[in-house]
Amino acid sequence: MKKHWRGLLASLIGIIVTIAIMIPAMSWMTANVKSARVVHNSRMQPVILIPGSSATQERFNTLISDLNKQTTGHSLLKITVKTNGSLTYSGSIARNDNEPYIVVAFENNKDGYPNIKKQAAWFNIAFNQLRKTYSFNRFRGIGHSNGGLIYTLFLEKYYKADDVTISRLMTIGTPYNLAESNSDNKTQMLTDMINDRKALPTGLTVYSIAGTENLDGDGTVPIESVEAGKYIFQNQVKHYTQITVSGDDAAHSDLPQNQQIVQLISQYMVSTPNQQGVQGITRAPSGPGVGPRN
Amino acid sequence: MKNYIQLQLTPRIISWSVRWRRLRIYRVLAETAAVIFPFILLGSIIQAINTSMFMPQGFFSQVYHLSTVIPFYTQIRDLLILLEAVTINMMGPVTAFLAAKFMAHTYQKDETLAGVTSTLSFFAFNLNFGTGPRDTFLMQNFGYRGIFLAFLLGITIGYAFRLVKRTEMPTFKNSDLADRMTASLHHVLLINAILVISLLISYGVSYFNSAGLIGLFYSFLRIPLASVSSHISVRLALVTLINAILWWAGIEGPLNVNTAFQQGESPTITQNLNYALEHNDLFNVPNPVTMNTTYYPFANFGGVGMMLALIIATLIVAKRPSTRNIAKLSLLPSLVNVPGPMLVGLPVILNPLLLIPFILTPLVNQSIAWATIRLHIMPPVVYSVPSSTPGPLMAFLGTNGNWVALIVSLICLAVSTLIYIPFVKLSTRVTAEVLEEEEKA
Repeated sequence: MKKHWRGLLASLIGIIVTIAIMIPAMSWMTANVKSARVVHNSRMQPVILIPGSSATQERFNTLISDLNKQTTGHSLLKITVKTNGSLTYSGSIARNDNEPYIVVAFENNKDGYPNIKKQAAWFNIAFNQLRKTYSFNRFRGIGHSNGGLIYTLFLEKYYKADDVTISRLMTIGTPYNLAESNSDNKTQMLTDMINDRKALPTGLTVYSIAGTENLDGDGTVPIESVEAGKYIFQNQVKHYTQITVSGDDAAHSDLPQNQQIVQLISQYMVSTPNQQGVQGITRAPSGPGVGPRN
Repeated sequence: MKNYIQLQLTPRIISWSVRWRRLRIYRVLAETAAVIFPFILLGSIIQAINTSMFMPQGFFSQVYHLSTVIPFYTQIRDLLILLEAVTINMMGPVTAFLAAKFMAHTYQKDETLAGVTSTLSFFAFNLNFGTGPRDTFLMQNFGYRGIFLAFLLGITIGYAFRLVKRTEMPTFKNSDLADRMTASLHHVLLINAILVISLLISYGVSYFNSAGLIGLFYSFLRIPLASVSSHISVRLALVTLINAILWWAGIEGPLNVNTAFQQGESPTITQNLNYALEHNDLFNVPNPVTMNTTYYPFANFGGVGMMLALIIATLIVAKRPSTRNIAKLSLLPSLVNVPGPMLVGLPVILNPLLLIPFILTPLVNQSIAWATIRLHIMPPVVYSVPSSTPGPLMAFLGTNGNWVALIVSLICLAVSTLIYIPFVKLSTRVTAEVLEEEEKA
């Protein structure tokens, strides 16, 4: 009987010791892996820009040279996706540049929901190719006009959070309800996007910028259509911020050159504007390639 | 089949083992081991405490942040390192002394003189011939690493003393002090010859290897494994096999948990880690089967040859209180993968009965790990853990908390224990027979 008790006591102590080791060990390991991930991830984090309809890969040249004027600058890579899915490149990413700008434009840059869907698929092709080449696992996104719609579709349909993380998305004058100014009349596109919103990454911070040239909007997109973004993002992503810009250069197509928006981008979308050892572009771009100056 | 094992094989194994145990060399080994065991045990316990609690990379010091909890942390560590240095890291010269002493004793020769000569010869073999500021001796060879050659040296020198006549020491009563002094001089020629030969060999070796004869010996063991077989699983199994045989013989094998973790990260670990950190996915890492994913987390509990399983098996089936005591004393260091006490105490070293399970268990465990990784049941271990992590937790932590890995680890432990049990039983029977015969004699 005495021996029986001793055995029981020994196994009880054994279990307690095991738990006392396992639980702190497990939390220590988890913290270790988490911090290792942070260190590992702190390398390249490109800012990927998508222009709106009718715009080419040159759409953001002025914006980026404006951004680089204020800082030591980052390099710029421009990609156009052909209708057959092949890619053409111009410009390049400077060595050591941890936060390059990458513009992805489309040969078929027409407006309309069917085209936008196609453009989202093309963007996915370019995106996967970029990941393969530069093996980054974090990026930030900027979409002008329909570019924001392409981003939204891409995040809902193609994006896989296990492989890569988008931490911030800025849409500039993006018509979430197309040309519709009454938010009660939801277009097919908006309805689809709202239905798929659960696929949006929950850790994402979204800035939606609206331009207001007059009281109705930026002259092209009604302000209500930009505001309709809240039906998609609000209560799904981590933060959803809507910013309204007015004054000079607040017309729809001028928005990427608007000095206030340039400020917002360098403030919110570029984490290391003055990276050491990277020679970006500071002059006004001329001709097709806006690569680093070396 | 069962009949064959019971009626034919078992008695034969037992009679072989009995004969092996009565060999002169094995008796010398056992006597030597018995003397150094307390020092090995003490040194191993200190080593276990030191590596797990007082080294910055130790398991407990990491998990419980011991450096901020324990007062006088660095002072305690310094003392522990010194204690290790004078126990386990000094066993080479001691082994040389004891082996020569007991060998000479079996021939009824001057045992103490043989022992002293052997120790001095061991020192001569480990002189540091390098230039520049340096230690007089190659201290790294004085620990477990040098024990095998120290033993061989002791045996040889003990045997050499067989060639000379034993001096009859004059008794105190009827002799002058000078008589006693000159009596020792009978061996002056032999002693000098041994020391000169040792020095010459040692000096010659220093041209080939700066780490002395022992360094030269270990450099032969570095087999170019890439050329052995192109198939990775075969290669891994081969290394594990050779490693087990070497450790069994008392030689430090190529797979050593402490040095492996000190040498830092191999390219395969880095590749796996980068992939895992980037994709948050352990299953598809580029190198799923390596020593670091199959051997260390699954086949090295308690140190080489799954010592933890042997200890458990001993505690389950062994009856003799002394054997059980050795297992109990070895349990604590083996929890942080220090195998010394069990290797020397049971002993496992050069014990023919335990050779089979000693080789078999790591191979079986490695196969289990290999199969579960290949079948995608369990992810490979990717994240590095301290070398002093308790064996069964290594895979669980190294996969960042994969429960399947923990279950596979426990299965490995159970299987290894089951493999060891029949051999521990056999060993009990052999001991009984040896004792019986000795009683008859």
